[in-house]
Amino acid sequence: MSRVQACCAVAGAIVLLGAVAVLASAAFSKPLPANLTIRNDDVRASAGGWVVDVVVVNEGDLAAAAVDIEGQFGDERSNVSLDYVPGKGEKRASLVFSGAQKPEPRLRVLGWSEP
Amino acid sequence: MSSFQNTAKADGAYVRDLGRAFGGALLFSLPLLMTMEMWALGFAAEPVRRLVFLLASLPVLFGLAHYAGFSARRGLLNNALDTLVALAVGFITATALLMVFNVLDWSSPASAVGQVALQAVPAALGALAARRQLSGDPNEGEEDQASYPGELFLMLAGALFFALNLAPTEEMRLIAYLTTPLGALGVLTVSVVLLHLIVFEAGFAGQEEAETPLRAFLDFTLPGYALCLLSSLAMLWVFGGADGHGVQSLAANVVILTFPASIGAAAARLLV
Repeated sequence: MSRVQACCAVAGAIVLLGAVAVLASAAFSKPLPANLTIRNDDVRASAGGWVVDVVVVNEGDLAAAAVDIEGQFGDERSNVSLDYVPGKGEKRASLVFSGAQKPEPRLRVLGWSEP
Repeated sequence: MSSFQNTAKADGAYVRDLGRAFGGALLFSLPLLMTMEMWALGFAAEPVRRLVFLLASLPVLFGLAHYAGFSARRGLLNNALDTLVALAVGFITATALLMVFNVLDWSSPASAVGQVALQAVPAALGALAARRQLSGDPNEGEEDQASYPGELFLMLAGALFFALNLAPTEEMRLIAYLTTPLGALGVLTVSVVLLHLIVFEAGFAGQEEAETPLRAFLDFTLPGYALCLLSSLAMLWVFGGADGHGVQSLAANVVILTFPASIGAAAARLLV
């Protein structure tokens, strides 16, 4: 057996056991269902009006798919879809408003599906 | 001094083998590393399925280390060490490329580890087939000495080698939904016929005694196709493609995925 082979095998055993430990702890704990919240991150002017950057946070353990979000400011609505928001993760999106006034939209998550 | 030189020589040879393992890992896993369904499955698939996938791959990788492998060393210990090294190669390759592509999700350890582990297994499979794929000598490997169960194992490895690249994609589901029951039956027939023709042409070890095409059909084609069906069902379960289906639609999904799996099984000698 060469020293390189032994070192590489030890490295392999470490990553294998590490991955098994992380996945097993996730597999055998009761996962919290997806729980999405949305917050306004930034509002900036653009050529098409105002762009509102939002952050969708998933406080649950399970991923949410096809997440629809909507912002409303006055009579104007803007919406966007996210493919996935991972468990304990967050994704960013942008909503566009065309009015002259800087928007402070009411934000809400319309719904999502299981991946 | 002589012992030192021998060790240095063995190390040098192993580094060359290791380079070949990284080449095999890249060759096999690059399509999956660049498939967006795999990125999402890394955190969206149930944790227990990701764990089962990783654990179930170990005996397959061990068998592949024996029959193909990336180094010429054999024996239980060397096969076990090569299996672990192939996994290390798989994890390094998958982590490096997913980081370069900026698709790793760091939201939680389970997300990132799940993404990497899902990609590391096919990469390790590629690393262990490296000797066959990347060596100048096409006769590399121990397949010629394979027993009957060994030949069936190689068919299973070939099925996984080929069908894993397709199993996570949406296109497999779409084809299953679009095809008619008669179409699925046609795909099944074509799969079995092609599997038989290629296996019989390639001439598996043990086939000398089989002599007749009927005997080869019973000995290799039928059990080989059954292995392909089972491995396809297992892959669909891991990737969530079997969830929520009725029996008929599940059968269509399995039969469609078994088509590439049976081509892989038939060409096992060329692939692994």
